[in-house]
Amino acid sequence: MTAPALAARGIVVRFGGLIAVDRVDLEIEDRALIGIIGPNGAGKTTFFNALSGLVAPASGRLCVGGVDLTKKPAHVFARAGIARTFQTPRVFADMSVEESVRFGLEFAGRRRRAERATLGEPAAILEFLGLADSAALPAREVTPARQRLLEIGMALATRPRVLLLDEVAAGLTEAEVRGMARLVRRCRDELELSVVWIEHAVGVLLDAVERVLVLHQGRALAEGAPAVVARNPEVVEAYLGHAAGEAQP
Amino acid sequence: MPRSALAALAGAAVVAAALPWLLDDFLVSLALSCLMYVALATSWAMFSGATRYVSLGTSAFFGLGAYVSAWTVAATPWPIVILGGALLAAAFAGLAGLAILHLRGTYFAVLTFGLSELTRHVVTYGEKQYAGTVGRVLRAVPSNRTVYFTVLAIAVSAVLVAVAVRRSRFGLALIGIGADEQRAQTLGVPTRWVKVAGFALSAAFAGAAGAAMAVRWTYIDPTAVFNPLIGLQTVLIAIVGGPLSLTGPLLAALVFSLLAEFLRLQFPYAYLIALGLLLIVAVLYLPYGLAGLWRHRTAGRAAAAR
Repeated sequence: MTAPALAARGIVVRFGGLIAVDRVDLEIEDRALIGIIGPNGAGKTTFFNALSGLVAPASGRLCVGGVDLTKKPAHVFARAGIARTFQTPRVFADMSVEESVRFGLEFAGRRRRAERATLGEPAAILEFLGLADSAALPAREVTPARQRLLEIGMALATRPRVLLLDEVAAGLTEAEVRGMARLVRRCRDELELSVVWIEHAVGVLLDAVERVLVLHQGRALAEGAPAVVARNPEVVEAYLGHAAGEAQP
Repeated sequence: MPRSALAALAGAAVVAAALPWLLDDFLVSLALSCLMYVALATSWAMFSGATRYVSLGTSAFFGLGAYVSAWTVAATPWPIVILGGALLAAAFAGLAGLAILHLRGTYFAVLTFGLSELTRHVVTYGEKQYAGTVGRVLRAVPSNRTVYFTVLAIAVSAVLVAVAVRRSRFGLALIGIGADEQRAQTLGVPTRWVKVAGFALSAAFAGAAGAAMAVRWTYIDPTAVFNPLIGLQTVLIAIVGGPLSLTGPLLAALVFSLLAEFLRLQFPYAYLIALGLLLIVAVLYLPYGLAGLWRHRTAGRAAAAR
């Protein structure tokens, strides 16, 4: 049996007295497609920060492909194949779209050539995302929707094994959200990556993913198939029901 | 940097090398201070311009280099003295960088300024304690011509190293750190080591320049060689010239040393006021310096032509 692409066990993240993530486990196999949902402040992004090495967990273990990387800096996670996007796109404003993508290829991507040969050129990545016609534009000048795609492109350039997407559909139109859901699936199906996707558009997310983790006040409330989790009384009470209640007159 | 710019640079270096035979002593010493600021501003921009970690620590590295010279010049071959200044400054910047390069913006600038002051006081104390004197008279120093060519060599290598860094992955990493440090790290850049190495490399040139310039002054004391004005002028020249460009700081260094000399002799106070005003204007209205203004104009023209 091979080790999971990324295994998080008992992750705790504290900010002073506040426990933002409280003993959360998540095992991400290769080619998994996992969604994470939860109300604002549930600790979703903080959990991503721990998974990508930006925040060292107070306790718990993080293993990438069976190698313990707990408390290692973020570039070690990137080199091990953990790529991520940020909730507000953090593109390199002064670089062109193509240069931004090349950046990832030059650093983590360069070390991972052996692991993954596909999408080895910025042009191929931009083509995959439908950004080819923006290649020469400065990153600051493309639309916010395209900046989100560029964020994914920069992450893909590191030739990852696991792709962590943090609200990549936020602020998009309904049609664009559906397009994003298709793109997320293509990352898994065509690029054979594991994808973990945080999103507030719960309906679209539950349709797209194969497994879902619900976070609530830093804790894992439920985990499983989307259809099962959506009927979980605790989840309905804490999160889905709340939204449904708001929708009723 | 295009080939034509490199050719222009080589031409300028040749002209600079001929100056000691063409000009009188006063003008040669003016050229010398020009070259010193070329070395300081270019190496400063290489790290601080790219990463946006604004360092006011140049005086510390310059002063350390100067003291290496003062301690060793009488009994050591000249190239070793210069190398020693560069190495001590780089080692010091590396150690200091490990401690303070996690701070950004104003905090980093203030701490590097504090670093210069701290170094000055430590050297003052050390000299009083162990040498029984604060100032030192340098005897058995190399000729003025040797010093001139040494500083020319330091300036040329600073520019060449800056060009090489700009073209390398290391330089790309520095730019990425300046654009968004955390993002760069999540794309695989070992940010801590890149910053420390860049800071140390940039300090090496300031140390070398300090070591070479010390012998020109024949008498040095901590107040003179750790003069914060050296650090401030370096930052000013690089920022006014354009912290992200290679030619900007270079040209600004030439203009400034000439202007500074003229103003300092004619209007000593107006000179400092002008420095301050220029810095404010540059920071407020010219984030990419005069080089940015130039690029903007040419880019505008290219767009208009399309």
